[in-house]
Amino acid sequence: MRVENIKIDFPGKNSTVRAVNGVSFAIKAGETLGIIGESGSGKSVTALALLGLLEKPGRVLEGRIIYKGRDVLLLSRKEKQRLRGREMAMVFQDPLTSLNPVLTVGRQLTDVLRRHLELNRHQTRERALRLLQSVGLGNHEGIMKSFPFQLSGGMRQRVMLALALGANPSLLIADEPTTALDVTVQAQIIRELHRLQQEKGMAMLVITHNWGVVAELADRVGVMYNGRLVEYGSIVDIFNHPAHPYTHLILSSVPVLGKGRKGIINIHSPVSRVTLNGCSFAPRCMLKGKHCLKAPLSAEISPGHFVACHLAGIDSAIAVERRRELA
Amino acid sequence: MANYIINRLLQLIPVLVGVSLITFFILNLAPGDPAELMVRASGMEPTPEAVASMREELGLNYPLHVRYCLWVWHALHGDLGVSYHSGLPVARELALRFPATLQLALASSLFMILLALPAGLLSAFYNRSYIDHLSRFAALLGASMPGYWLGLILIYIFGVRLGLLPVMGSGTIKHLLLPAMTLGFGLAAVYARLLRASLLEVMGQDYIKAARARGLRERRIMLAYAFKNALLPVVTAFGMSLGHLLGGMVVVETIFSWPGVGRLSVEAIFARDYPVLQGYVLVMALVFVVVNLLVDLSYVLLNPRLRIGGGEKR
Ligand SMILES: Nc1ncnc2c1ncn2[C@@H]1O[C@H](COP(=O)(O)OP(=O)(O)OP(=O)(O)O)[C@@H](O)[C@H]1O
Ligand SMILES: [Mg+2]
Repeated sequence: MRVENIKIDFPGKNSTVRAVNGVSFAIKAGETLGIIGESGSGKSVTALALLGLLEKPGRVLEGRIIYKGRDVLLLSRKEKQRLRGREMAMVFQDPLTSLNPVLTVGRQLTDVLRRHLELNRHQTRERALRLLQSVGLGNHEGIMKSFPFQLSGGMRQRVMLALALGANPSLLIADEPTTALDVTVQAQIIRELHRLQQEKGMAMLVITHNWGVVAELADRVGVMYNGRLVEYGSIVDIFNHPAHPYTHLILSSVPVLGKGRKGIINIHSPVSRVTLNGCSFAPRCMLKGKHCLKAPLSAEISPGHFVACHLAGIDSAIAVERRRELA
Repeated sequence: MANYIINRLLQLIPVLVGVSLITFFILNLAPGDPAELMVRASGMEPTPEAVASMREELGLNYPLHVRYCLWVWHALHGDLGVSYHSGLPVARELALRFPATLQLALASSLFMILLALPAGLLSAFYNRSYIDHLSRFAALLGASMPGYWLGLILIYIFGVRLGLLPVMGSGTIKHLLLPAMTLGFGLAAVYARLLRASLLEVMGQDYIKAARARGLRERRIMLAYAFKNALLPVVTAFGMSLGHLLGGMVVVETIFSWPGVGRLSVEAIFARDYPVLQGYVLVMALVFVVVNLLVDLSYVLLNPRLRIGGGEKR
């Protein structure tokens, strides 16, 4: 999966919201990309675009989404439908609202299997039961017959996982898979995701607010701010050599316990929607200077580590200078 | 469940008492003296003496509250009194007329469902396409045409111009068609619109997006994932607008001379036939409560959360 410079607009009556503004990344088989960023930065919109599921006014303005050599954006409706579930699957943020309240778990599960796999009735049932077992749901006969509201939050998220994994997709997109869950259950779901990915060798895109999730699962990390990936690199790059001021900001807002940095970003400031010519992070940046009136391009400051900031990489001397001034 | 049903049936008692009490007093307030009308109807001069003796014969000489108590007492024994007009027992009159009304109600409901379900589904599925516009235009038309007007138009087209269908009376399926269409079309218009709106709302829910993300086909999503959820508010609305339906039946029965209880009630109003009206109101209140109960039960059947009970586990 390769995403090249996609831009997504939501045209409104008076103004158009540019939800995603030139995002590029790549995910290889068996690899996990974590995307982290605050609310409204365009994470979910990006994920939905990958599946061709953007809601009405939203549209992909430009860019390409290459999956197995084909541009998803150019596929027909039918082809996209066949891709979803079978090739790419998605786990949503809130497992309660993402499960149909009036259909049993078994019904929803067998529907996916019947859609994508050529199995007879008996085989479908067998596979559904195995799936429930593989996502760690014990009493699976009972679970098949239950309705979503009868399950706990963690169980629901496991059901969502089973639904997503039904047809053995090669890419799993998890949009904040743990946000709606309490902490212990979060850890269980993360472990489950990790194990399943290892077993199946899927590629995974994990969207989150939570550095803990990134640290546990991701091989590479994209930091998203206001529709842009402001920093993109390996997990080591991001945790040990963060280069963008925004990455610094959100990393430092995390409580540091021992050597691991885990926690949740709690900065939700109103994002200015005025399309500035300059860097969109500048209004909140403590290192901003006059060079920020020009939008920074993403630069590769070390192999595979991209940063969109004038002060990063070759300019880092200036950054150090400014930091010293501010200190 | 059984408890719930028994409870609801017990609620019938205050409803029936209230309804009969109110009609009793309102009828008394209405202008026109049934005794005088009766005297005139028998071709006599309505002299004060004749009216007074007629009043005595009809039992109207007692004070109102006594009359009400007497009526309740008799009603409890299954005696709803005797029609001033026909001289038949009211219970018998109602029993004779009720099947026709039931037949018409079922036929128009069937017509309504056959029209509203496909219209609502297609309209939502092809949202904003010409099919949708067409169906919404038809629905707007249906919802804004008063029943009596549509009835007269249908009579004109099918009965007078084309001569295809009988416009009066009952007996055959052919007789049933026009009144059922008149009633069903107006209803279908309302429920097609409601179903469309409800479906579109449900189609915006997360679980629909999730179903799409699993690659399910749009038609399957609409029919298997959205429809059942979308039906819930429609069923609720149906329960609430039952009164309108009963009112509409009176009009349609009158236009098409359909021998149901609706037309009976209209005749009774003109004749100031108090016992028949009392009986009619009582029976309709009963029907109303029972149908409402059925509607609520079907809501429970559609909604597993109510059916299974039990709270949310965490
Ligand atoms: N249906 C829509 N109509 C108009 N604008 C939208 C719509 N959906 C998203 N947007 C815009 O896109 C922006 C990004 O939304 P998105 O849901 O991707 O944020 P997010 O990063 O997933 O946030 P969160 O962490 O809260 O889930 C929003 O700020 C909003 O302005
Ligand atoms: Mg989101």
